[in-house]
Order: sequence, then structure tokens, then C-alpha cells
Amino acid sequence: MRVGTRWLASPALGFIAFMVGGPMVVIVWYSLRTRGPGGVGVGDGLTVDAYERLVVTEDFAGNVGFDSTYLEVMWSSILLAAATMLVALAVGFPTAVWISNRPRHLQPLLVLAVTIPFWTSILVRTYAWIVILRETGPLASGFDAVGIDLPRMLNTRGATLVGMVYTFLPFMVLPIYAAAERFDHRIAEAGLDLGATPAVVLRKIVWPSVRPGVVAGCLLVFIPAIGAFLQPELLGGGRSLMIANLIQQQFGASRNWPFGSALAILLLVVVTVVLVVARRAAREARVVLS
Amino acid sequence: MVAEGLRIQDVSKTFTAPEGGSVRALDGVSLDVGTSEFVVLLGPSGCGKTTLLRAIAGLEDVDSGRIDLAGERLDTVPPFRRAVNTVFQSYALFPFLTVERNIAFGLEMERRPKAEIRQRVAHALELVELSGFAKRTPAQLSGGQQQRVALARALVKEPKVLLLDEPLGALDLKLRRQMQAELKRIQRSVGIAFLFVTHDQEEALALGDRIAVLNDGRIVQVGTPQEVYESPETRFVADFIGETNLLPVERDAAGTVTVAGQWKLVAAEIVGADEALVAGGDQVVLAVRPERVRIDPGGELRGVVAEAAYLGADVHVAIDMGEGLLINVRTDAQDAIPEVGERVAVRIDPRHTRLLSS
Amino acid sequence: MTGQADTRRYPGIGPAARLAFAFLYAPLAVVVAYSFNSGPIVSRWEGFSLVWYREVLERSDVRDAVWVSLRVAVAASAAGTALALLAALGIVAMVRRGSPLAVGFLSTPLLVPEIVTAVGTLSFFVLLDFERGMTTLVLAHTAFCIPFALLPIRARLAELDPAVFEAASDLGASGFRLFRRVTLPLLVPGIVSGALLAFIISLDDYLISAFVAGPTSTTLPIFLFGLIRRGASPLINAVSTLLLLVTVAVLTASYITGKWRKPK
Repeated sequence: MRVGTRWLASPALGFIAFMVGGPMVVIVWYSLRTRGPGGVGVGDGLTVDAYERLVVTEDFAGNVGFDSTYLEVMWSSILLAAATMLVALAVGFPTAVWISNRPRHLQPLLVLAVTIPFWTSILVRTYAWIVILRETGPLASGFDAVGIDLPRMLNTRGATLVGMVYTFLPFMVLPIYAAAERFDHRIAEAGLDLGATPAVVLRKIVWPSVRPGVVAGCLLVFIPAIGAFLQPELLGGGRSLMIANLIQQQFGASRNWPFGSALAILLLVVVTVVLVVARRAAREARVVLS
Repeated sequence: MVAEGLRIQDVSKTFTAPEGGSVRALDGVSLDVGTSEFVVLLGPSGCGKTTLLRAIAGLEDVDSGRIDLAGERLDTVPPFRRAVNTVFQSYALFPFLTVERNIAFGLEMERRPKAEIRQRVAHALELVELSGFAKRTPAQLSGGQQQRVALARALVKEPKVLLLDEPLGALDLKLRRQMQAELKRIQRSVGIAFLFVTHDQEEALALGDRIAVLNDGRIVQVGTPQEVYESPETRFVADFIGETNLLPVERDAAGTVTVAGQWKLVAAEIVGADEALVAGGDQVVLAVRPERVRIDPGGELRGVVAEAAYLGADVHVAIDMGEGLLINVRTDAQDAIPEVGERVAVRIDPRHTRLLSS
Repeated sequence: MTGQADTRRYPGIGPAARLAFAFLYAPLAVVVAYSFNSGPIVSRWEGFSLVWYREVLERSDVRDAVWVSLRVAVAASAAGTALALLAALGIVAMVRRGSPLAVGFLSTPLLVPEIVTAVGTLSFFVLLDFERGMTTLVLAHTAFCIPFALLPIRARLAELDPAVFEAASDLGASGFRLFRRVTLPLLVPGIVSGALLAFIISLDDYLISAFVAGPTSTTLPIFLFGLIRRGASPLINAVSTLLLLVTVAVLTASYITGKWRKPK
């Protein structure tokens, strides 16, 4: 097709190289520097202190020992992302399959209905849960009216999880729908007709054809969930410090940019490892999303 | 005359598949098209006919050879400066422009004066009988009408050669026949050379002043419709155009030819049987059209009727000559239809046969 | 018909899906509903009122934040869409192995965790000695606008008949005239759709903006975050509702252009 030359892509490629590549290089560079004067920016010296700090601690007596505090933050972020993924799958899978079973003309509208929350501001969506879960909120006062005293909900890990599932649910529904929509339901009907139970049909016929969508959905939820910031920040209170919040603190209140950079690299490495491990799955995902 | 028209000389083109393999789409193709000639490029899909058309249009570069138009080299000119225009298989109309603006597009690109454009567009619309449809958009037209717009859009530029890439492929049979007649009329009235690609041999026979038959990137025969039908030069042409019986042949040193082990005849009687074929070591076959075979009790070849079908205008009979050899016969529906299992004899006039290497 | 039969055979799917939709929309409904509360405490309903909307309109800090956000979103989505348009055309012209690489590379802003992009971009600008403000906001936003704008433009390009471009070339169009007279009109639905999506994404961004904005360039989400930090208030609900309204309007527009794009 003679609509142009491949060089037309170079401005965008150059811009992304500048705006993504530049920051990545700078973070690596900053993670190897001493702390800046007053904690802002970085100093002139070169050091691996920031990386040491990830795994060891020095007490007041000067004893150096292994300290897993920061690795545990990373780990709990991964666990939270995994929990988010599983809950989103439990909620999203039936939703996606249900949409794909609706009459043809209704499906685009239902997909749009899933898409709208996806495009609305994460800040607004997270705020909505503050309103709902707070002690004077509609949920607590509703139960209060019938004599049930709910425990505190806001500023808990549970609140963070709910907010995360809420945020990432569309990422789960859309790819599963895309896979389920291509599934020919007459095959399932033939299976039922031939005497298979619904459970068998679901496992042996429906599942293999929607699997790529499920894999894609899980990846699309898991990866951004590892680095989630707003939900732990606003819904979890101080109780659920996640890696993104820790990084933010180093560049903010804690004023330790080198350590913040090292944490950012840790997060980047984790995400990359997940992507590499899931490369085969990612390939399946691309088939569904293309 | 040839210096005025389109001259294709020894053009080759190889495509490299992404997996690494390569396909020779055009293999030393040479062809001349006169200034107001209707030439049909005929061949099975993948034979290179569309590639040749696209090479002339400039949509594909050639690896070697040259193309000249009116005595000037064409293949080095970019597509948007070539005095040839194309009617695409998918019509490729601009969906966001009206019929009128679609047709005017090429003239606007030439920066013609507005008044001239208006007048030439109106004339083109008249030529394709769409005068009332100027303000419609392509989506509001039927397939046949879109086809005419595509034709008008290319013709209005008054190209030296109009290239048509299976333009009737998407139409149903009835509309197709109608458009064939119309294309022929339009070509005569504008007097522009048409180079028409098709895989439909009936369409080729109906339209072409001359037909160039392509196979595997090569032109295997060029001639009038009568020539390629009556005198196919290769087994491929005989087989691809119309129906043909290809009968096994044995030869002896004396120049006697035995067909199907039954019918002996002198090679000299067979039209176009050159000495090399008669004497050579290659396997040869005798080609004869089913309508040239007659059921005749005095015939030289004997067999058993295996199939007989009444087809309205004629009757199709398949005769088993033994050893798995079938001869297809087409006879007039007025004749008596033989019974299946009946023993019959057939007669073949040697003047209507061709000896071809297989 | 057949679909409904299937659903009945998988008991529980229908109710589960309806619950999921309720889960998706109930929080938004709550936000919208309480924005009309006349009282100062979000979830203590004291009657219907538009008082908070009046406050939104009257407060100059809200106005300033909206104005910054709009300018950034317009500039970043325009720049991102222009770059994405050129990139889409360039990618089509690439050899087979090159195009997925280029698409993948242009999608990296979606793969890198936002917090990493945020702190990285901040560090980058500090290193380059860029003063934080509108320019840095627009630069950072343009980067993540590109993949969002690229998606619908490439989708549009893929569904077009390549012969249309060949026909244009065959009829004498080339270079910029081919682009302006044929390519651009054909891609308009994809471009509009892409620009609208990029606009929403830019308008809604909090995290990256928070790191690269300067003291005088507070965007609406940054402003909103500050308010939320101080506790829920009906004012936040009113601002949120307006933001939701803009998102839904822009999405609807994008959806309509998307529908219109199917050629017959």
C-alpha cells in the first residue's frame, strides 16, 4: 500500500524512545548515586547503597543484617495483585460469558457498558468507594438501621482489594468476552444434545476456546495491579503499604531518590519477569486482542 | 502500429514470501497491445496475469525487462504519472466522495480547469449511463453501478491503455453478461486499448480481439479467440479453454499415428502436426473438442456409452473406450440420445484435431 | 434464541453478571447521587440541591485546575494523535517483521508501571533541567496518548481496502496531495476516535501528572486528589460527576464515530 514510507513512524518512535527510554536510563543512573542535598534529586557520588538497603539494614550499634521489610512490600504487592486477579476472574468470567450469550444487537451496548467505567477517572472511581465504605456511608448506615454493626471497612486491606477489583474488572471482562464471542454455541448445544452434562460441556468444550481470553485478562489485570498506587493510598490507609506507595514516598516525604529509583527498578524487574514468564501466554493474548 | 501502442518485453518479477521462499510471478513475458485493441489476459489464479497488469500500472516494480507506451519507456515512471488507468477488482471507489467527485478526482489531480472537468465528468457519466446518479455516494449504488463508476473514473482520464483487473468478478452471471456487452460497446466508442484480466475463458472468448493465455508466469499462446480455441498450441491451452478430449497416441517410424490403440491415421492429415512432434520422443496426445466428435456407425473408434445427459441445447455423451479412457461427445439435442451400455462408434475429422506434446 | 437457551443451562451466570454490572455502576451512582446533597457531609442526605455545582463554578481554584487540565489534554491528545497517525502510516509500510516490533515499542507506555514512569519522568526532567509546568505535563501526557490514539487509527487502516490507495495513485495522486485528499478523509473516523480516547486518558491522569506538574500547573485530578485527602465532601462529588459527564460524552462521541466507520 503506497500511503507513505516507514520513516513516517520515526517521529513517534523517537518520541517514545525519548520519553520512555530517557526516564528508564535516568532511573538506573539515579539508583547508583548518593542522596541529593536535602533529599531532593541525587548527589554527585556513586554508590550501591540504595540496592544494599533493599536487603540489609544497619542497626544503631552498626551491625549489618538481612532485612526483608522492603522485599515483603514487593511480595505483598504481588499477593494483592494475584488476589485482585482471582477475584476479578471470578466476577469477570461469568459476566463475559453472559454478554457473549446475549442477542447479537445487545452485545455492543453491553460491551460499552463495561467500557465506560474503564475510561472514567480512576481517582473518581476510587473516591466512590471512600464514600461507600466510610463509617457514615450508605453501607454502614444501612446495616446500622437493621441493627447490624459492621466493622470498620475503610482503611483496610479489604477496601484496597475491593477498589482494585473495581478498577481492573473491565480488563478481565473485555478479553474474555472477545474470546467467548467467537465461540460457536451450536457446538456446546451439540455436546449437550449428545448427552454431555453442562459441567462437562463447560470444561471440555467452552473452556478451551475461551482460555486465551482468560489468560489475556489475567495478565492485563495482574501487571498493572502490581504497581497500583491510588487504591492502597486512598482506601488502604497506612495499613497496606504497596510498592508503588513506597516508591512515591521516597520521591516525596522520605526524600531518598536513589532508593526510590532502586525500588522502581525492582518493580520494573518484577513486571518484566512476569511478562517473560507469561510470554507464551502473552502471545495467546495478542491473538485475542488483535 | 506497435510503436503507438503498449509493448511489453521480456518482463520478469519474483516475489519473496516472508517465510523465505520465492514465487516467480512473471517469467520473461512479452506482449504487444495495439492502440485500440481489446486484449484479454487469461489464465488460472496465480498465473501472473494480475501481476502483469499491476506492473503496467506501476503498482508493482519489475525485476527485469521493459515496458514501453507509445514509444516511450513506461516502467521507470511512477504510477501517478503513467498514461494508463486501472479499473480495480474491488472497484476501490472513494467512499467519502460522491459519484461525480470520484470521477473528477483524476482530472483534479491533473489540475484541469473547473469547466473542463465538469464537462468531461458529465460526458463520462453519460457514457456509462449513470447521469442521474452524480450526487450519490458509492454506498448508495448497486455493485453493477459501482462498477460503472470505477470504469468512468478511469476512462475520464483518457488513458492510452485501460487496465481492467477482473472487473466483473463480483457480479452475478446475468449482470456479467450484460456488462460484457456494454464494455465491448464502450471500448469501441472510446477507441482506447483495453487490457482485461480474467480467469473466465468464456468471458475471454466473448470480449477479446486477442487473448493472451498465461500459465506459471509465462504467456503460452496469443491469438484471436478462434485461434486459441480451435488451434491450441499446448495441452494446457487446449485443456484450460473449453472442454477437450486428450487421446493417447502411439507413433511409428513410417509416420503413422495410432489413436487410443484403435484408429490409425497418417500424421500429415493432422493440422499443425509438425515433424518434430510426429517423430520426436516426447509423449504426445491428440486433442479434439467434444463437439467435433460425431457418433457414427461407420466411425473408426468403438466403445460403450457410459453416460448420456440431456442438457437442453445439446446432449453430452461419455463413451468408454476401454482401459479407463473416456471420450466426451457433444451432439445436437435433435439427434437420438444413445442408451447407456449401448455399443457405438465415433468418427473424428482429422482436420479438427491437434497433436500436442503432453 | 440459542444464546438464551445456553444461559439457562448454566445456572447462576445471568444473576452473577447482573451483580457484576451493579458492582460496576453502583459506586458511580452513589457519587452522582450525593453530589446533589444540600448538606455539607457527603453521606448524610439533607435534601436535593445544586449548591455544590454552584460552588464548583464559583471557585477559582477549581476553574484554574479545569483550565490547566483542558489545555494539557487538548495539546497532548493533538500531538499524540498526530504522531500516532504518522506512525500508523509508517508501520503499514514496514516489512513484516518490523511492524509488530514498532507497535510493541509504541505500546511500552502501557506496559511500564505508571509509578515507574512517573518517578522516571520526574528524574529525567530534573536531569535535563526542564522547569516543571505545562510543557513537562504535555510532554509526559503525549507519550501515553500515542498508544491510545494508535489503536483505533490502525484498526481503521486495517479495515480499508488497500486498492483505494492504489486507485488514488493510479489516478495521479501522490505525496502530500494523496495524504490530504485520500488518506486523511479515509482515516478520519479512526483519527477522531483515537483523539477522543487520548483526550480522556490525559484528562483523567493523576499519578504521572502529580510528579511532573509544577506549582502553577495543578491539573483537575491533582486538585481533586488534594481535596479527597482532606476527606470526602459533596464538592468532590460534584466535580467527579462533571468529570464523569465529560467522559461519557466523549466516549459516546467516539463510539458514534466508530459505528460510522463501517464502510458498506
